[in-house]
Amino acid sequence: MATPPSPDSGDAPPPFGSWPRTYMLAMVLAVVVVLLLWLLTAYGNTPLGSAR
Amino acid sequence: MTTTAWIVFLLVTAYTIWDGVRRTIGSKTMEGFFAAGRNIPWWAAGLSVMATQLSAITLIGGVGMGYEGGLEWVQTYFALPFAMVILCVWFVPMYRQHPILTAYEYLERRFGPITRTLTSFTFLISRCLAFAVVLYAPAVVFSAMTEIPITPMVVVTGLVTTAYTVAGGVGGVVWTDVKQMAIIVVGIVACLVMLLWDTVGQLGFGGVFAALGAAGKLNAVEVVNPAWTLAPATDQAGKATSFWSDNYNLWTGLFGTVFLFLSYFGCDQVQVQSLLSSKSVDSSRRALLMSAFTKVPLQLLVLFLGGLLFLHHGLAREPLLFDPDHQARAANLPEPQRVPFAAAAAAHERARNDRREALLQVAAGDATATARLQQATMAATAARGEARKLVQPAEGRQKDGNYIFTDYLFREVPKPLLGLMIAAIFAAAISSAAGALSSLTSASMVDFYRRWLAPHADEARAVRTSRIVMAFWGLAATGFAVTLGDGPLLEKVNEIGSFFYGSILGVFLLALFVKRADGRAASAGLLGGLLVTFGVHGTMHIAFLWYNLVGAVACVGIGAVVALLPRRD
Repeated sequence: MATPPSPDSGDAPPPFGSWPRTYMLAMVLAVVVVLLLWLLTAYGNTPLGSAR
Repeated sequence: MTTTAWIVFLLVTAYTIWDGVRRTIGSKTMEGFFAAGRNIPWWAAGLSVMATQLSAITLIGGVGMGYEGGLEWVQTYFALPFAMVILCVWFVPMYRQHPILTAYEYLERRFGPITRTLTSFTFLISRCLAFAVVLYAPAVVFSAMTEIPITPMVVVTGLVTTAYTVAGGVGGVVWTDVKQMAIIVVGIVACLVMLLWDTVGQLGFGGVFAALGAAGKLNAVEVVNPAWTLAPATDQAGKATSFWSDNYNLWTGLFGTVFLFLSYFGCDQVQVQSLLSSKSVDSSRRALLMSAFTKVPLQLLVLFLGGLLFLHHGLAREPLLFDPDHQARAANLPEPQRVPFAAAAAAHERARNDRREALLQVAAGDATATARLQQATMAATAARGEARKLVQPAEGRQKDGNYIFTDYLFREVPKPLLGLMIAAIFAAAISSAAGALSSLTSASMVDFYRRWLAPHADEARAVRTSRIVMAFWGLAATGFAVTLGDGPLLEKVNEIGSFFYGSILGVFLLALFVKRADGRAASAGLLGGLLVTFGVHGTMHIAFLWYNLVGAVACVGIGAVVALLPRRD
């Protein structure tokens, strides 16, 4: 009979080598996305009611 | 809806459910029924986390919000990656160190049975209310489509959800979620392609973005608003200008919702059950990170779809009324309201023509047309609002944002795609409802039945009872959903949760970070956090997203103080 997987055994290595590095990259990516969206808003959007 | 659309809808829905349930039907153990034997791959758990969160409300209301308010709602999701990292670091190892079946089982190991029972009971109340709202949303779509009243639609959705969840348990829910997520993405992308084809064809690619920006629809980040006051408003008059009552800006998105996400993804059994059913600690972490980084783009797509629909209607013919009920009332208006209604329709017609010309000018590179576009947009919105007031005097039933997308689907998309989209919306609804149903049952069974009522019940009896309890929850929530009225559906779900989420999160934060905290401190913190949240709601006008922060801080603060008090023994 096959042994069921242990709840604490990892089935694959972390996506970017180690978990701390993966978390760091995840947060950096999140900040970059927010910055890009801020740029889109700042340079591409005219708030409704503000155009003269 | 034509026969073709019905056939596509029924085939897609039946296949999705059958293929999900067949893998796990007939589980004989609690571990099998509530954790799928802890054998779910990380990508399936991640897709299930997403499908459960992406409800029909998110789809229907999200497109409507994009149409009316642009991209501003996406800010609500900015904190998601940060919250997921926190959950990966602290919460996932906490849950996976023991073979538990509910999030609240952990609390008994840390604080004792009273805290576990109190927290699980709080979860049951909040989730039952939200479950009813989740059932109500797709009924709106089907009612608009078929002219069958909302009540039978709620009943059908509730019964289908209950039936397949009872049959397949959590494993069935997860595997069905995977298929449902695929249908939802295909449906969204298909509509996006159709609308891009239409608008880019008329305005050009650059013109589409220029027109969206000029109409104020590219408002993805709001950092500061000169109208904000920093003091929380305590009366209705000050509500609109207070920083604290503004739902969608960068600061609410980062600091208000981070507590919502920590609680929803980390302490709410509806999501924790997916994490507990995956294979390992690393699988659970991967599932969380995957959903964090696919949720934001998906939400952007939904809102962008709303923006494109705004352009589509701006270039073609925006309906004066989207809600079929409003349209029916307009056709039978009493005599005194016919003249003002005709005036509103004429004003809308003028604004619509103005807006069409301005859109074409802006897209052609004429920036001076921006002011005209904005004035015409505001005039069209005002005329639509006036028309709604005339046909529907009840203020709570005047909003029609939830009908904008469905109106487009039923009137304009090809029938096979309509069938697919209805299947996608139905899939979104039942996947969220099934997650809620299985979590309500696991909390009832594991935290109450097996803990207090029948601790020695054998596995077969416990699973049989679980199926009966699940059927009870499904029928009870369906009954409650029938009594719900119309309104801004999207916000109702998060609002209901936000009253409870902060305090529940606070209990887990106490468990993790306040070593001195015991069961007495945690229970006092939970009850105190709930009281403070309801107190703030009753006395101040603040955005519901801040309730999560208020509840968590109050719970941790009160719990920490009680932990410092001398113990009687």
